[in-house]
Amino acid sequence: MAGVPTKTMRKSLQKKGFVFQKGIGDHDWYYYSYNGKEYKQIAAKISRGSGYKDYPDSLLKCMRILLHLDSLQEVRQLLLCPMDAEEYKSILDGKDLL
Amino acid sequence: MAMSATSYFNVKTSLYRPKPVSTVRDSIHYAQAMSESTSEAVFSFITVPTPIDASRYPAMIPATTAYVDEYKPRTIHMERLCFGDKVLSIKSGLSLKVEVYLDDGNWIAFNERFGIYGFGASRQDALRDFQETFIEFYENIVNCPNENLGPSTIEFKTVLSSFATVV
Repeated sequence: MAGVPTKTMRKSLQKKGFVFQKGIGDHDWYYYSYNGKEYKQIAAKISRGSGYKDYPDSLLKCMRILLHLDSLQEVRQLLLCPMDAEEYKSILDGKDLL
Repeated sequence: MAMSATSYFNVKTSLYRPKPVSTVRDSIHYAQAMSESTSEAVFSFITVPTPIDASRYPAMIPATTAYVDEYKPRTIHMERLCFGDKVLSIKSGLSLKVEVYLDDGNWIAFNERFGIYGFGASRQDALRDFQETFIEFYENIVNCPNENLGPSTIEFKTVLSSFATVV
């Protein structure tokens, strides 16, 4: 399956409630925030490296656990927008994370 | 007259030897000729190697054990993680299980428990990125005041700080 562009991922994560935090190395962090509190165990790391403009499935699979999603399909839905902020919040709520 | 086992063998083999074997090539031709002309059973133990001209197969890489091992997934149990001047020490008796594997052309170092991963063009790059990511993730949570964190993150922070410490 085609990779997901990092530009799309960044926009999408910010729309779904993630807050940007610049990383030390060549990557940035996005932490989930809700009701003024940070849920830092719900996060995504995105590379700034020019070699990783698109994230292949191999990396999306690794992101799944920190995003607290159950499948690669859900990760793609979150990052490519079919899953909205409310739906994602209800998934996290269902897992007693919020 | 009693004959020793060695001399008996020499006598027997000399019967099938029409001329002295001087080179390896001669011995191969000799074995081929003899296996065709005499009983198959006598020479069935001889395997004639097929000569390989390596220059005719430039794209072929010898499938040695080392070559296979280089791309084999590995599981590493890390007790210390280093990045720059920072060292994160895993609590005594515990370790961080890291799977290192090649997927989609990327080397990936992945810990399933915390969902932390590093990647790069080589196994070493992936492990370096993993250590950097883990230390950064750890510090971002452990050094964050509790009043800024959600309840589940405070709980997670306790787990994380009981698992490792920055040295």
